[in-house]
Amino acid sequence: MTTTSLRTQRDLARPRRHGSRRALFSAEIVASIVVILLPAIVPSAYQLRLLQDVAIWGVLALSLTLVLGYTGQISLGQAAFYAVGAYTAVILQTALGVPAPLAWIAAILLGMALAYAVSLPLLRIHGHFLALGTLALGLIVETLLVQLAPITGGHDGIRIPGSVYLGEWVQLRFPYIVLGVLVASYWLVRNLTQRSAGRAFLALRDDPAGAAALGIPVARYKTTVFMIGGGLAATAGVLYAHHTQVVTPETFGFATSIEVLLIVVIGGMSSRIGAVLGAAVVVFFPEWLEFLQEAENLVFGLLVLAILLFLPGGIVGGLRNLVRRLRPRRITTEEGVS
Amino acid sequence: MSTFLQLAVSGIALGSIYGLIALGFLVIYHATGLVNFAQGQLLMAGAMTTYLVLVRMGLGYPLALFGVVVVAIVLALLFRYGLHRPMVKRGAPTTNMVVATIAFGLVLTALVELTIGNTRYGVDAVIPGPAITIGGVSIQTQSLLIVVVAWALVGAVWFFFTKTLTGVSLRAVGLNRTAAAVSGVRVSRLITIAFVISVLVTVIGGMLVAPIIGAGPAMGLSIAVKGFAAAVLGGMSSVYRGMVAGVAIGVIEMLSSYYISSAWAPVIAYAILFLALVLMPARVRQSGVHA
Repeated sequence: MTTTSLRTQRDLARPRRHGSRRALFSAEIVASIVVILLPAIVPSAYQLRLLQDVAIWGVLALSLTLVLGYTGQISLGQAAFYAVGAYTAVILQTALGVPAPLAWIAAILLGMALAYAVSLPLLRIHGHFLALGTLALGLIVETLLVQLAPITGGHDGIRIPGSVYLGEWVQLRFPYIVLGVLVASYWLVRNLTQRSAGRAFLALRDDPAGAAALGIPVARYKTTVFMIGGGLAATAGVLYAHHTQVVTPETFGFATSIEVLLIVVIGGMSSRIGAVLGAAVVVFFPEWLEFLQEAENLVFGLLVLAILLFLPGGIVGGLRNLVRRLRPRRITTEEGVS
Repeated sequence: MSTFLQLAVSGIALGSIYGLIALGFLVIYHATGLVNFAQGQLLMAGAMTTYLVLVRMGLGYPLALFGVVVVAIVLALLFRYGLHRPMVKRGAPTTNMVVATIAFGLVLTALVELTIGNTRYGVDAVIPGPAITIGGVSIQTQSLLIVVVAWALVGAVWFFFTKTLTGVSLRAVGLNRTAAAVSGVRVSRLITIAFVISVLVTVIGGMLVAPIIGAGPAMGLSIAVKGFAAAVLGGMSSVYRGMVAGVAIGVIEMLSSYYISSAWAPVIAYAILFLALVLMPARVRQSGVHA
């Protein structure tokens, strides 16, 4: 209790002047534009693929950051919504011939609907038990993907050639869509978690009873956030399906839910940009350091343990501490003035 | 009828392993309020140690048991002093603790994969020989051994928690840590004892189950989930209720895999976990919140 409230206080005490906030806003806009235009300047197809991997993991991680980092709901079943998004989009397009945009919207809506449906019973449980419940959910969906073979194609999965279903023109420009969605997701999470709603999320994360006493609709906010998280994960699933042009059950298993969790912890649990940075670390490092490929899980597992022990804020938390330490004077004078 | 009995007997044996997982899970949960998600990987460590000592080194079961106990104590101390205690001292929130146990399990699995190999290995039974047949139902000696050892462990843990001073103090730590400390209970040391007991029980579960389902790095998760289901279904309270629930889940699993479909059996176990969690009485649900 004491520590969580301390952390909240520190978050609030961070000096936030109008000018710096406006500068941050401009920086976010510029960064967004640069990110969307990245596919134009990336030289090789290989790097383009990695870039899209980062973006897809980033959207998935943003969904978990929103749910876990901002409202403290541990989800070990985020892959379930990811799977629903991917499979719905693919099945609607390949089996039923629904045009791509409609199929995508339907997939995202179904992901949100599933999240809403499970959030109603899951609202009754917190903490460890919620983690167990979402773990069960993820495993159920994972098994269903294999067992409902007539619909899902079983272990073989379903192919969805981009040139057939998206058309050559869109297929070539798909990286822009992926990065555009990443940026849009970032802004969605950013706008949701700033200002009063964001503070309400943090409050209900740190002290649900206290938040309820202050008039924050705890249950409704939790459900809403869980639903939006489900929708974002489903969006990532849609992107994944078109990016790899095939969906198989292995991609949507427990290992994926864990990997998202690792990404979020590495980047920084309650940090929007941390989700994207974490995704970049998890995608790029095994590519750069070849010895990592074999021992990927070992290295990232140890990295997460080290982060939890020594740097609970992840990469972003560490950077923030560094910045704070580098300019101690300005902060003291600000506090002196106010 | 004899098929039914046959399935029930296998279910009881497998379910006793789930019960052991639930037992290991509840011991830590009651002492510290922590849910250990690495439970399945600890079981895997037990099974793999048995395989290493028995098959790779060619030594017998007595030495395998010794090896398993050593591994259990090392892992328990590592988990307690390397991870749990530092995190508690920093006042890490529940979320971080959950992630830490998951990461610990991940590291354990990865280590085993890298050093021993990523396949499922066969392990010999403790007492080799043909199955015993009673009234048309053949029972493997290993199944019998599992049931006997599992229930003996439950009995021992129950005895420890109700009849010994250390056990009673440990329960006091779980109920109210501050009050226990004030009454002169050495809280930190007792929590370490709880970790050792929990890991020991889980690892022995792995040793027992290895001859039946083999030993491999990926074996932990599905068993652990059923163990969690057993603990929750047993009301997260007494050790023997978790054991009974584990046996029930094992029997249901065996029966449903035969009468319905072996592919759907896991879904039923997961659904039991989900429903048991959601329908948990408020008293049980609240107990974990501030622990």
